Amino acid sequence: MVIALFTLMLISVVATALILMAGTETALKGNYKSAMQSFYDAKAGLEEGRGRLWARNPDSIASCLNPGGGPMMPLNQVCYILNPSAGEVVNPQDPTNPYADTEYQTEWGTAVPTGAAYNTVMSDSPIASGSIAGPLYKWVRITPRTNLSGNLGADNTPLFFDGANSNSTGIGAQVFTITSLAVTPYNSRRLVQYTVALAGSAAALGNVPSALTLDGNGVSFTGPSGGNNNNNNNNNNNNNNFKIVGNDVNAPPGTQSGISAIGYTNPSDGPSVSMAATPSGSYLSPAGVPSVGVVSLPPILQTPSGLQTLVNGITQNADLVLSPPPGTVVDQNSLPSAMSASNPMIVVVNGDFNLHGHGTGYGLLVVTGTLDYDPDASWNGVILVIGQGTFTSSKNGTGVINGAVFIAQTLDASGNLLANLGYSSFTQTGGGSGIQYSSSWVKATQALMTYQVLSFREIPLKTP
Amino acid sequence: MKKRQHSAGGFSLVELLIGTILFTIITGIAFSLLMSAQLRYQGESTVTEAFQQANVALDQIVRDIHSAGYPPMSSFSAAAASSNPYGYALPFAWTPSYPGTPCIVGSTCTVPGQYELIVEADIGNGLGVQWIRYSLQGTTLMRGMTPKGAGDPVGATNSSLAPYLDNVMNGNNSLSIFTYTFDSTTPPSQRQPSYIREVNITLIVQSAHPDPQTQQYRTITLTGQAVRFNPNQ
Repeated sequence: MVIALFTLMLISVVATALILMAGTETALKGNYKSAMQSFYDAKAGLEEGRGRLWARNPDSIASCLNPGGGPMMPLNQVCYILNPSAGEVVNPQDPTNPYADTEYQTEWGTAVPTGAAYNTVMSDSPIASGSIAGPLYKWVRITPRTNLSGNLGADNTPLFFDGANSNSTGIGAQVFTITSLAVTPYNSRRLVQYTVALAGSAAALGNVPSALTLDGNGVSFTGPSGGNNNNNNNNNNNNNNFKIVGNDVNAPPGTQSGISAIGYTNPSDGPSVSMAATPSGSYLSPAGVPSVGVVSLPPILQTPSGLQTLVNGITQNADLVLSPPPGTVVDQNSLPSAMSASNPMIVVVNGDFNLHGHGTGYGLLVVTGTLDYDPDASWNGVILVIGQGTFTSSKNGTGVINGAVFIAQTLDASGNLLANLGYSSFTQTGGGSGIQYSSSWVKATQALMTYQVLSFREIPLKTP
Repeated sequence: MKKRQHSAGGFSLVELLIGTILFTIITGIAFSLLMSAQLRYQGESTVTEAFQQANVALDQIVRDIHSAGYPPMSSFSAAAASSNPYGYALPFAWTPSYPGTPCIVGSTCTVPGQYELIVEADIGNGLGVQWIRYSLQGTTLMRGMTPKGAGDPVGATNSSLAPYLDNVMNGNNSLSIFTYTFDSTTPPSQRQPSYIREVNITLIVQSAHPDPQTQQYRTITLTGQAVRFNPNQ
């Protein structure tokens, strides 16, 4: 009896020691797991913020960013996506709240704004449904980005991204800072931050310099000769209507704004383009803006590799990518039937494309081969002919391109990337209504792109 | 039938002797088990401590690499960037010839190397972009941090280095702490620090004390991987 009790006691001691060891190991691994979980939860918050910046997202937070509906997020505006667990209050404004946003003060030098400048929306996280626990981020904050908020100088004007660099002069797409705080049940906390802007392609599109841009060297432009050329078989004899208009059709009534009608990048191409762009009354631009002239482009649009990057970026976001076999051509019948004015799309054609018929396309069209345009058709949006850089049209019609056209030769005949930009060409010898610059359609096209991450950092928390 | 006689005086001497011997044997076994468990516990505690320290170090290295290159030059206007040349970050600093001529990792670079890495990042401590250096010296992994500035980043961070993790045995085993994966389009001859995409981290850490049972030092190996998120401008 005594022996049995004694043995039992010893076994208990050994077991207790083993349990202690196992407990220590479990605690260590638990801490590690919790820390990792909070990191990935915080990143999930960043991704929700980035995803909901996208204008096409069904849960877009555009109204949270900018309740006034203007073209950019105001400087002192802040938008929070809140994601409280059941029964919990998440209030980033309140310094006494366990999830207070103390980082805002560090970046902006002031407390989190109040009143109309402070907007919140609820998270899309499935935690709200109560079925499956979603990522445990507590809030995601979206603000404009300035040099000051990035801790570089005192300049506090909003930054924009032109596809390669940021600027405070409004070129390209607005840059945002997304910050996310995650706290796990074991109180592991992580605060992480993205800087984002519309994908470089969209940023580059944001400030097209002319209704028709001929990028490269030795570019050529051929319009309907004298506006009355009639050397085709089309019944529509309306080539007198051909115009390339840089005046913004969406400018407020009574005001005038816009861009050049035709822009080229190499000054030595000026004489030939200007000579072909006659009569001058068919090539219009606002007062003070040359109707035909040299334009400057963001760096991403200045080199074959940059333009290739742009096309690749667009292709990643495309609704439809057509790749006709060599020697064949696809046409407007391949365009998505769901494409409409309220549902513009991105279509990329890796080859030649015939935009014929009597329909209207909406969105962004990229053609890497030759684009043959029958002006019975119309397009609302932006057309990029980047690759072979050839736009041809020989028929008449009543169609119009509302938006902008950009042409660049980046590939040789074999499809190899050129070292330097080649000679893009625009030829429209028939008629049609030409090209009408529309800032609204350019912006609508820009909004089709998703936001790209420009930078990332993890912020150490001072007050856990 | 003869009735068996029972002693009313208790156990006999033989019974006591047998009982005592059995008790001693069992107690001895039990204590030896207990002692063994205790030694085992001490040994495991030492290893656990080493594991915990290495884990914290690995986590910090990964965090630093995640922030490497923040903020990139492209996130500021050109005017602000040019007037604050130390206000933006490259992902990784190097030596020699920083910042003029990038060296080739694994060839002409002293840093980044097998046992040395310098991250450039603004880690939010209010001091702007920092050079954060990890350097294995003997069996001690050192960590130092100093604001990015002119000159050689190794020289600038030398005085800030402090012991960060002891008993790191990578050097003794000729096993790299840092190995690098580059952007896929980068040929080996052009593997400059800016093209580092991932850093693989291996820490071999020895326990501070020998195992009480075997009198041998025990080692643990932790591996981690950190991806560069920021652009290589």
